Amino acid sequence: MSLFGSFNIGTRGLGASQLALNITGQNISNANTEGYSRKRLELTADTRRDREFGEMGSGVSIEKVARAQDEFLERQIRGQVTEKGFFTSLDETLQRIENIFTEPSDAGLNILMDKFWASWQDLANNPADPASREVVRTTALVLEDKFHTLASSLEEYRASRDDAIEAEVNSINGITQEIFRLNGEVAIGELQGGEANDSRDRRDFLVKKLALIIDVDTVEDALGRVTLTTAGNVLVGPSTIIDLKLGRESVLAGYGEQISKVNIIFANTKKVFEPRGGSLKGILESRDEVVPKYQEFLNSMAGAFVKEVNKIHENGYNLNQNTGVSFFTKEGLRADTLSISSSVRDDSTNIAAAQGGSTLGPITETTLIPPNTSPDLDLRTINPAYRDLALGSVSIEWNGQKLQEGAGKDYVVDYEHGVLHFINYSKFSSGQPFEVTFRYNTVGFPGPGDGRNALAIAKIRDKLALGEDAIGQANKSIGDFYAGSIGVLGIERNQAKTTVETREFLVEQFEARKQEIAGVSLDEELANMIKFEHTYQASARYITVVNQMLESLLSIV
Amino acid sequence: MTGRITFTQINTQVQNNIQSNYAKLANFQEQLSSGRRIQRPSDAPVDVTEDLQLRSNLVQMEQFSRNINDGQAYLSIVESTLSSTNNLYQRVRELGISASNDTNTATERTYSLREVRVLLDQIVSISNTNYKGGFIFSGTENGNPPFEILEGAELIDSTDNTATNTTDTFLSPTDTLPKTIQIWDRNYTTSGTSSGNPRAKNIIPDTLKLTGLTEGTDYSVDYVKGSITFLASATTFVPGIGNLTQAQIQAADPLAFPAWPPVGDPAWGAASHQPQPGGGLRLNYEWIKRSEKDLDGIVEREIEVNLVGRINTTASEVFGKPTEETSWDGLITLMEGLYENSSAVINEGIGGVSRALERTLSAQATAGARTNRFQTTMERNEKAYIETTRLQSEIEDVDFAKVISDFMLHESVYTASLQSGARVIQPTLASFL
Repeated sequence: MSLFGSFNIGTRGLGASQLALNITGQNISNANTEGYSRKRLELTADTRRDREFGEMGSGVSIEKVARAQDEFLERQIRGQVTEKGFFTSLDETLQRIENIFTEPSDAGLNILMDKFWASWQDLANNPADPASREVVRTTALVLEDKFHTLASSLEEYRASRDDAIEAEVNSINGITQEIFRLNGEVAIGELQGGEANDSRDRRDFLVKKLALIIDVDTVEDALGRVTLTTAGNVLVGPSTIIDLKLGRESVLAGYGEQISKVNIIFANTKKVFEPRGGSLKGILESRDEVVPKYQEFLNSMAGAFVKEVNKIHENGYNLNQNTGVSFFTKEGLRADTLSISSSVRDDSTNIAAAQGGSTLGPITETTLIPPNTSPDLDLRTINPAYRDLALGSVSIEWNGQKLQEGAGKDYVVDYEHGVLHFINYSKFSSGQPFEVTFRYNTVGFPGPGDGRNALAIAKIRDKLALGEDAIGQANKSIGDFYAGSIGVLGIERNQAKTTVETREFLVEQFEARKQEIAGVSLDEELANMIKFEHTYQASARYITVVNQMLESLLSIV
Repeated sequence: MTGRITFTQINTQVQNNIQSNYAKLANFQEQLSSGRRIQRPSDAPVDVTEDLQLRSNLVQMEQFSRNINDGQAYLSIVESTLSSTNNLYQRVRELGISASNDTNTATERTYSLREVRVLLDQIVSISNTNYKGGFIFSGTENGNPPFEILEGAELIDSTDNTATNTTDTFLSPTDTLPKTIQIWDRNYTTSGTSSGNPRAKNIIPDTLKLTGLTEGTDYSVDYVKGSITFLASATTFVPGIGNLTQAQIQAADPLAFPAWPPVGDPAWGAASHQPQPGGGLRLNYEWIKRSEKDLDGIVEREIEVNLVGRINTTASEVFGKPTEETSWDGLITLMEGLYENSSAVINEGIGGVSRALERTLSAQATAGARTNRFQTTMERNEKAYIETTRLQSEIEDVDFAKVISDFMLHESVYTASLQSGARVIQPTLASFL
């Protein structure tokens, strides 16, 4: 072993210490960089064979700059992140629905329904009082408005999920592009030898970011490139990248209407992409299942409500002694279409507070009694029960034509007495039969002081009108159905919230484990810094000593 | 061996802990400032369902309480009305009993008759008692007064022998005396019903005037039924008709007018309907009219779930059904007895008034029982309301003592996490190099 050899040992020591200090510096500077893994210098002792003494040291050799990493842990984190993403977006949706319903409060649907029933009770107490009628009308208007607001808020939120899908798809495409680029960098970097550590850090970080949106799986090839798949479909391959695109499909909505909705397709195969996890799945599920479920709740409730109120209201008599008037329009059986009928909206005397019998019909009577001698056709001459006709229920066909009702048209109806008055009656005197179709009430007007119909409507409150028990009977009142639905909402939100918290906790735990391995400890780095500073100084000192030895040797000459 | 603990790890942990502690504080703060434990359904899903139902129940109970109050007010009006009616009947009966004594002269009985007439007017006016704009004895047809004293008028005209009115059963040309005719309520219009005009029943004695004829000799009156019998003993000559005993009485088309217009007034209509110069038979009377509407409607208030309590008393219950003996029949009979100075009829009338009194007393007892029922229901409702409020408060409201102590506890935890965080983040080896 020559002295020059000894020099070499010192130089290598200097180099190793310097590199180690560099790495310490890099670690310290990136202590706060997200996704950064701590780097370590792996050193080995270099040896040569000596003829006399066998294996002798020839200095330090740099093995590689290693990246502290645990691939298994990384996968676990990714899995939990995907779950967390899914439940977070579900939770967000459920929270929004909670905010839309604002229960329990003094402004929620529950209290407005109660006020509606109470207003009918007050009307029952004072059936002829215009103020009580006005209260019923305005309370109903407020309720109608509430149904509309709830329906439109839910629908707006549901529709806004399409925008959220677009935003998520854009970020997926951005991330996959970046991963594809990093794949190239890792491959090129590592072909030239060494490890492309920082590119790998960045790539891991992006894969994790992607895992929050969709479920991802990665396989690394010999060149260090990852193939990224989601739900069994390749998004990034060694040499390919597949974008996601937005498409549209037409589906049947719960209430039987065709609606067009946004879906996600693979740009190459045009196949529909259905994520198995992550926030994107949460958004899709919110749009297609969660929100529609509560829309359905609300719609069933509105439908039952309208039907029950109308059924009783139509049998009753209003202050104008008319029967057969609807309180809500018959068509508006959903929360967004529920609407107070125009007759009640325009005039509160059309509210039927007085009880009638039941409305029978439609009945069609073919009668030859022509108004030859009189413009009046008294239905009571056919059957004395045919009086108190349901308002607007009369239609007449004569000689194959449908006659028009109204002043100045073909006929007017005295609904109270069941008398049809033909205008310009001489033209009907041809002996052709009339086909008169109408509905009538079995009981006459009981008087303006009768409030039994109003009371019957108020009692719908306790009537079982919704839900289904084992033998198909309704088993819930409208109020109970609503309270139950709000309870379900609360339970679902609570579950989602708890699950998010659990997943978050797990992610934190795994992240902490990862930090144990890959995180930068400043104390450790500082200790290393001093350590390597000392080895550097010592190596330098060693070179000085070898130098002095060499000088001593040379001075002999 | 303990794992490596890194700077980022501690940092993240400190941040997470501070965050979650702060979130808990915020939650307590929200509860304290709003006074409510449940803000949204997810805070306590099961409790929320119950809470919504309790809230509904409270609204319903408030409504029941309003219904009961309203019903009680109505019932108290009914009761006081019935009790006034009672007193009036008693006074009528006392008058009748003292007048039934045969020592009373016809003049004295006439004085009694006048007093009874005043009492009758009072009873009729009390029967029209109003509550919130509705007549209390009119059932659901409460826009119509149940009873009214009306002035009736008829004309028997000898010149018109055509009967155009189908309900006209007045005198016909073939009639012979004695002949009883029914007086009809001509003010009632038949449109809309197939039934004829109602009878003018309960004619008040001493108000009936038949021009030129003398009651007793020419005709007699059934005041209760509202019929006039022209007697065979009639001798009076009626201008325009002739002598009642001999002449065939020709049919007339009796017209009804609230007042008696002078001859030539267009209100009489066709010329043939005009009263004849020199007279005809003019009939004036006052009578007690029962509204032709159905007065038997039932008025109820819902006072508990699926439980309605009736509050009204119908005209039939207080004054008798129109098809049976009515309270007015008794009064009219009594007045008839006083008018005709007949002790027998007076005694008959006293019997009728006694039955009227019984009817009223029984109605009063029923109303009293209803009031009691409302009262007990009200008490039950109030208790249930208090209990439900307590339950709802238990579910929904914050237990301040508990939340404040929890708040304090978490506040100190929060402070501790801040302090320890500050210390643990601060030092690194650098501080000691």
